[in-house]
Amino acid sequence: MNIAIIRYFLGWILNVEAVLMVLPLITALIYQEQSGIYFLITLAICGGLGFLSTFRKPKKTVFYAKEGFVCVALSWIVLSIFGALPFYLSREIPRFEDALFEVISGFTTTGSSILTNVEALSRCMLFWRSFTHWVGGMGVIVFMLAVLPLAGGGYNMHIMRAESPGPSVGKLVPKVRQTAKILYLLYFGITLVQILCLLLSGMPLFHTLCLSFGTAGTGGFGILNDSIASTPTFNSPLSPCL
Amino acid sequence: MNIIIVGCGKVGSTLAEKLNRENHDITLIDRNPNVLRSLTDSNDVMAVVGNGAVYQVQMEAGIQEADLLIATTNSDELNMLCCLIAKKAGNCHTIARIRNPEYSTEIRYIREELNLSLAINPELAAATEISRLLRFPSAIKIDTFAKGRIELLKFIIPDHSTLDGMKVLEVSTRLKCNVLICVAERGDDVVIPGGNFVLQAGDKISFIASQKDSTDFFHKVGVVNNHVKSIMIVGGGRMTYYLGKILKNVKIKLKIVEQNLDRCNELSELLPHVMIIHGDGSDQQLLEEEGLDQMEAFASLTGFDEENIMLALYAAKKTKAKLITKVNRTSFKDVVNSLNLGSVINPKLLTADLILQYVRAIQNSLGSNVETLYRIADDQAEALEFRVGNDAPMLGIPLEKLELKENLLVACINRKGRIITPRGKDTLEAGDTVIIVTINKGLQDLKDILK
Repeated sequence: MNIAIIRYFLGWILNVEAVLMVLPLITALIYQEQSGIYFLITLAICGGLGFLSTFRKPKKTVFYAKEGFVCVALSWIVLSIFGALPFYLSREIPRFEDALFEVISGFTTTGSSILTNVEALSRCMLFWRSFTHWVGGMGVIVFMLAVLPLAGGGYNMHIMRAESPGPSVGKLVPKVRQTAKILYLLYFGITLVQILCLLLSGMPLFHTLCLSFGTAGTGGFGILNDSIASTPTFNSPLSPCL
Repeated sequence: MNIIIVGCGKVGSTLAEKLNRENHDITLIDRNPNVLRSLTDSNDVMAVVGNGAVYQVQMEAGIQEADLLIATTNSDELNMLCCLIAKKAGNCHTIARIRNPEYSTEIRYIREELNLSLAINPELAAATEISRLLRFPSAIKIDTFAKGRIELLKFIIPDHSTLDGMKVLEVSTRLKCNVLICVAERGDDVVIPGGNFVLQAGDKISFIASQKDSTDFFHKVGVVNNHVKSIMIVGGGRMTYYLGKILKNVKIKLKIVEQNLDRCNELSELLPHVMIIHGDGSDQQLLEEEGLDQMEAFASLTGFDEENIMLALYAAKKTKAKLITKVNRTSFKDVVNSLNLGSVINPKLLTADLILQYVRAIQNSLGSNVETLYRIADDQAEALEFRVGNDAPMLGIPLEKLELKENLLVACINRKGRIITPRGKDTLEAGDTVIIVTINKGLQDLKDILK
């Protein structure tokens, strides 16, 4: 098995995660929250590790189905472990396994939560929690296939095959990269429409973003203890979106 | 470019692989879902199951956005029908494989009437290649540029040749020969030799020269290069038939050994000037009896790779004849190349290469400037022919002043039909065609040769 290329691939996953963390960081800056510092720390760790492992391109670029499976499986794990760090470091979710559960539930768009009092979390944490839904809804790996020019060759096919459910990959256009781009455009579009609708119905921006991320990714994290039950007026545009 | 390939046999799948690597968008059509699945699993291509001549299927494959349709099913008629429908439905370029000898005589008419961009006949292409090799038996491979005026020849430096131990720099001065050595293969390494590269016996050398110069060069480096006067061919398939036709006008004595009596009768009617022998080509005694040891060339063109290879090895042991071996399978290429089989002909790869060349030419009209492209040295190097445009950045600058990329050689300039072997003082002018030999793949434009 070509370990070097798996390391390289996981390095890129970390780089992408580092970039994703910029958004909750901005949220923290806007709301002047102390806990934003933990995103900065995680971002530094991810970025550092990612930089180290993508610094050198692997010489051997053989990539078969086996490497594809390993890459995809490991990248979900890596993504979740580093994604859980801000919750754990900030002690807002004091136990690591709980934080991990929350993030895995987020990235896999499962939507179940260990939190009894969601509202106690700081806003940047809430934002990250909902944002994992949105990222997971389409898949980080598909995103990587769409944007990153990874060494090329037939290897994105093996990754796509390991990542997508079912025995064969359905595509809209001949190239995986183009297919992924089209899917992402649609995804962006849907999310944008929902955000606009919710804003028009009078919901505050922060709520709108978090809820839209949660629903577009077919997840289910809310940011209030009773989810969306207490906000009946907002439901009118939300139900068709769901 | 959007390309649709109908029929995923050996040629179809080779094309899919290579074209996909060159970043074209490929859609495959085949009736067999299993073949398609294995192809889509390992290549980034899309597949549609169905009959490629059906309008609906072509629509599903996106014929309306396609730039090119290549039909390589095993039926000539189906290929033609595919192209005909594609032309009407999508108005794209079409390439069909048409291999039946009955059609080959009127191929021009068919091509014009069906509006085909290219009609390719693998066996005819292979036979043409063989006939070229027979003209220059010391070369393992010959490619032509500038519409046949320039040739790229590959040969192995024999022991005790004057070239052994000579620097590339000294070749043209010491031998007083206007040739340019472009690529040297030593073992598994492929290099574009610089001036200080020292040649050794056993190296495979590709060089560019005009026809007259190459004869002269072979003579001076001690390679015997007589025209072949007699050839024995084992296997009387289509390729042999075409070869017989081509060699009709050349003074070469042809002897064909064929196992099937009916085919023998057929061939002797089709090729009245050729001696046809009915017998088993793998029968040693028969081969001896028919004078294998006096033959100047021996071609094993049966349908079985194993038999062809065995026959070639046997002939190599018994004679000094020029060997031509047909090998259909593309795997284990290294092993095949390491054997003493002379020139190895692979009709499928040859077809794929010709189509690739053509695709590059179509792309040319869409932006890139490649006129012809040859893969040399086992696909590890490319020789490309470019046309120099009016806006080329290197117009009028002597070659020695240009900052060219590593591993790249300006091998030949064709100025209004006059062939120039470029030296440091020469310049490129608008309207020239120029041949670039390089290990860097994917050159699209002449300006890519600069650093």
